[in-house]
Amino acid sequence: MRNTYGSGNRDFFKYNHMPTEVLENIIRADFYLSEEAADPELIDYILEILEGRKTSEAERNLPDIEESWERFKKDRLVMEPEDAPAPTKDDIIDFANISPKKHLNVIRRIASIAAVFICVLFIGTVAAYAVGIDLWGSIAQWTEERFSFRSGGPVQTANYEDIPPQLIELSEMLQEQGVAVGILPHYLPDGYKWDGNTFFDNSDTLGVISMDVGLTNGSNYIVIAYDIHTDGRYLAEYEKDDVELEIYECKNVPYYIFTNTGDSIIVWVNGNVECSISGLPNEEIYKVIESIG
Amino acid sequence: MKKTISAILAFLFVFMFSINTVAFAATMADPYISSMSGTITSEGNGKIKITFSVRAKNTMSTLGVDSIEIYKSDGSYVTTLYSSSYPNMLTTNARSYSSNVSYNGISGQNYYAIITFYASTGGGSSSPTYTTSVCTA
Repeated sequence: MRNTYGSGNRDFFKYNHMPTEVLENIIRADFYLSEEAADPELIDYILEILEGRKTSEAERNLPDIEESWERFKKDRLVMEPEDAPAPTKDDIIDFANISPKKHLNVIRRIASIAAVFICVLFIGTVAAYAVGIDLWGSIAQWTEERFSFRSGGPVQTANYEDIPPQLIELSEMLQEQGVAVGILPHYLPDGYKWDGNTFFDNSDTLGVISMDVGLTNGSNYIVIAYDIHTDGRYLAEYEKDDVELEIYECKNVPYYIFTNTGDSIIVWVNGNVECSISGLPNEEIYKVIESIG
Repeated sequence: MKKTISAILAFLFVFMFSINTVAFAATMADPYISSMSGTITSEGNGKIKITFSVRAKNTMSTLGVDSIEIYKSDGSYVTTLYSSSYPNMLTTNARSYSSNVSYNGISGQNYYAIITFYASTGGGSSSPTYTTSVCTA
């Protein structure tokens, strides 16, 4: 213990006579101060005073070591296997005599680690959101240039009635696959003619059954596509440009609307079916979405 | 304390790597291709199969995959499969296409593939890439 009248040019003598509780309060208060406002020199001095007082008190109340050792062997060693090596006196850790300075350091370290962890988590969450990932419940993620789904979405019951004639064949393909969710639009812009369906069953490799229909009015082309996830493997990446993505919710289903070199694309998930409509004229987007079900 | 610091640094590294992976997965928007996907699966005895699917915005004169680069999971290059040797990697006059090719690797080795898709019309062409997950041959 330092029994000088100060440290450097400073006078800390008055702290030698202060009650222990007051000194502990000073330390607590210092713990909450900012780095600039804290006084580490004073805290070191107070900690040494407290350590000295605790040592003196411990020495006064020190139990007999041999008696403690015998009691420890009697109470704690009965459950040990017979062939296990008996602990020595050096194995006993005297937790009661850990200095307050070390105790405070441990608390400070834990607090620092917690602070770093929270900062990393916060920065990570912000960074992730900036690139389109909602860490706390995402089904979609996107960057400025790609979009993809990571898990399924809400389920909307299918209505196969009043389907536009261009989509009849597609609706039959969906029903053949047992799709019972509402994913077909009941409205299409005027003047678009059927331009063929495609179908690929990659359930054994990609984990998906894909189908789509092409519609054209001669100058513009719309593709309505459905990818039925047969397991969790399939991951499609959609090309997109850096125009801000819009999330439009309709009948409790979020629709992700973005553009790819200026052409619109709507992407959404209903149950295990990933759906997209590309090439819709901008003025028709919401009318088509409202008709889906 | 050293273990704690190591754990924090490891967490930081993994997190930043995850974010960077997402960021570097991005390429440019594409004038012809809407979406694409690919996977690599084991066929047994060291044989691996790379399956891909691609969907274009419109009917393309040529659509599919131009080349597939195969790498070991540590990033070391193994080989490239070209459409000139595997004609089924490309098709003509299609809006969507899907196919697969196989490669005889080493049993127990971990592989992933970088697939370079291809779409062309009379007006031009594009070739975006897609990186698969890792598979044990």
